[in-house]
Amino acid sequence: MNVPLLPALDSVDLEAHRSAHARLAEAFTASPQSRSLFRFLQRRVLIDALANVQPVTVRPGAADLLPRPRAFLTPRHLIRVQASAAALRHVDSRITMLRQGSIASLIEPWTPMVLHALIEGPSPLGVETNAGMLRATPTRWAPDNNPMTHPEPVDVPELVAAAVDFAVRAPAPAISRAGWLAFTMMSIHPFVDGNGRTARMLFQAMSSIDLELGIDWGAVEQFTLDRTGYVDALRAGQNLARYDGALLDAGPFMGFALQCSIDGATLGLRRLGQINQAMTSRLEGGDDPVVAAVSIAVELSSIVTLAELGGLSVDVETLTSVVNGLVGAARLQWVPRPVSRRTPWSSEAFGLAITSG
Amino acid sequence: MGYVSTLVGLEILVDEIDSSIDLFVGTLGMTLIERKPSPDFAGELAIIDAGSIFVTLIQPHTTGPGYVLPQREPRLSQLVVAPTDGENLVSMRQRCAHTGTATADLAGDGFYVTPECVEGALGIKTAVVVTGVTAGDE
Repeated sequence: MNVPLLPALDSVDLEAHRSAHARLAEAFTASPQSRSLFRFLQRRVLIDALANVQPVTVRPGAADLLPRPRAFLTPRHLIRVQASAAALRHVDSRITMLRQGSIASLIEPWTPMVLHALIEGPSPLGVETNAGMLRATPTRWAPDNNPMTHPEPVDVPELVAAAVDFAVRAPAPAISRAGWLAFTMMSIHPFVDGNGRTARMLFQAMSSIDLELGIDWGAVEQFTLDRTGYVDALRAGQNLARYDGALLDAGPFMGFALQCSIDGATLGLRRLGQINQAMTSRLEGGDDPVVAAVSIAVELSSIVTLAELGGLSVDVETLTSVVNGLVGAARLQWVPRPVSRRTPWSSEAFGLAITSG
Repeated sequence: MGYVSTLVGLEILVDEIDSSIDLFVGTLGMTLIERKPSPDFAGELAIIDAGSIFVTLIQPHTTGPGYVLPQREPRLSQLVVAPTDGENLVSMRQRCAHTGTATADLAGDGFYVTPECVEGALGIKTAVVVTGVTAGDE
């Protein structure tokens, strides 16, 4: 089995990881509206990160506490976002099925191919990249970026099968196996394109398995925020001329991923705190909880369509009624949506915004 | 509505710096201010006084000395803008964040709208650099 060894992560760091996620899970016992608002915000941030869309930040390298949605996305990135959302739904559904006992394993031998098909099927680059199929041709990175040569195409099916099998069965914490699997898949480079996105989606799935919330909300966002650290951690373990499982070192990337998961959970806790604070303030001002949640969601988004507010999991009739009430009370207003925020599947001319002043 | 920033410079990556200078200076009559090896990477640069703005021409080299630029294809690589009266780098960056525009830190003073984000607006991968130099500064 020519895949890398799985080194043990520092037990202190693993405890910090457990503790950070436990604190986030505990904070999730806040009001259902706060939970909905957190998911509304964090799902968008997570999908953008999985699609490798550059984040909106004011401070370099740091996530804004409540970041606005990205504007000026290229057609390529718009497709990537849609595709990543589809792949995340697949992962979400499998986590739910696993928790219900409907399936025995979250990740099956065919999971990388399914995720790749979802991610690359819409063809973000507009060229054929054989979605859902392992590569049959040699690939390599630009030598300036990383001189390591990928394994021969004939070896790829066996390597991918071995990587998945080992990641599923290894007696190690899920976060360790998740970092190892992402590193190993990116080293095998089994697809023509979309390897990073597929590996991060596998990381997303694997790292979520043993978390109380059933999802690692923040690790992949941290990958995007520290893109240099992410690339450096990968390269640090790939310091060889040709793929050789015995010589690859998954440790640096596993350590980086672990820290990202801790930082992501910590940031999530701060975001949830901020949302709770906004909810409390509005409830004390006499708002109904759903009214408060809708107005906060609009504030979080700057400008948002009725369809986008569907992410709050409020039924359409109630949502429409609440929006009409807020517009009638001059707390919200319909404003023209900037072209930079319109997409082929969300081309509405008007969106809701907080009434200024 | 008044404007809050102004264009102060362009940076163009070129194949051949001699012919590029010939176009701007020899043909269009602009003034060559300086020509020298790039202090930041392997290559040569020339600064042209284009009236209200400066044009920086860069011919990247494929060998040293210095850092070899990984992306060397000729292109408009930067639009350089500066805040005008009443605005500063912090307010400009907040303006970008508020509209969902991706930015990154610039070594030294300033930040830039990422080429990926500018590509979404213009269709070309160009960085929009926002510098602390105010319009008219030398």
